[in-house]
Amino acid sequence: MRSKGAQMSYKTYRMWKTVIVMIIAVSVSSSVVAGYAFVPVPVAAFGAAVMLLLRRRVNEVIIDERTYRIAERAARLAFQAGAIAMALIAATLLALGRDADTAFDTVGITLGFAAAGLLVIYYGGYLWYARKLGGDD
Amino acid sequence: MGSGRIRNNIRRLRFDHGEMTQEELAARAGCTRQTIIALEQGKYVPSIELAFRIARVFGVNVEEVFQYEE
Repeated sequence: MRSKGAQMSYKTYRMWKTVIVMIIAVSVSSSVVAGYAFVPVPVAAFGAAVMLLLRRRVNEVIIDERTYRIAERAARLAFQAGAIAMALIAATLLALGRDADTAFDTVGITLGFAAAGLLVIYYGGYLWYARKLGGDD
Repeated sequence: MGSGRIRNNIRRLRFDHGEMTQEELAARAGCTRQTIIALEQGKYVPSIELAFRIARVFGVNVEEVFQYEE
């Protein structure tokens, strides 16, 4: 979908995107350091809105099936590596916190449930897309 | 997954069509220039839909653009 008005190339869009991301990063980090925890939300929302407006002005295709395929593979890798790492760290923390009077076991349990939750979301998503894309798996 | 490989003639077809730029092909096929680059380098295999769209831009059959090799 393209809007009328001044169009821009993908290179220009990428430059502006970098600038906006840098502004958001600086303002969010500085506001958190200064103790203004509410500032990041409107700043991030404003940045996202500006980027959306800029994206509509790009006069070439910037997202296509290859972009989605790359994102799918990256997401799968992140999920697999993340879930395994979380499970291993959770097990280690639970083992360390068994006899010691530390918060290891609490963190371990939280991390373990987070890993389990991630697996549930993955399985739910898998079933959803399996139904959507047909087949009987 | 099969052990075959999909080759394409996109670069030659672009040349045959008045040295069409990657940018123009991308715009007409509805994909990014990066995808055309990846296709020409043999690093990316397109969906059937994109393969048909590229073939349509050149006005040829899909088989004339993409070939499957065992």
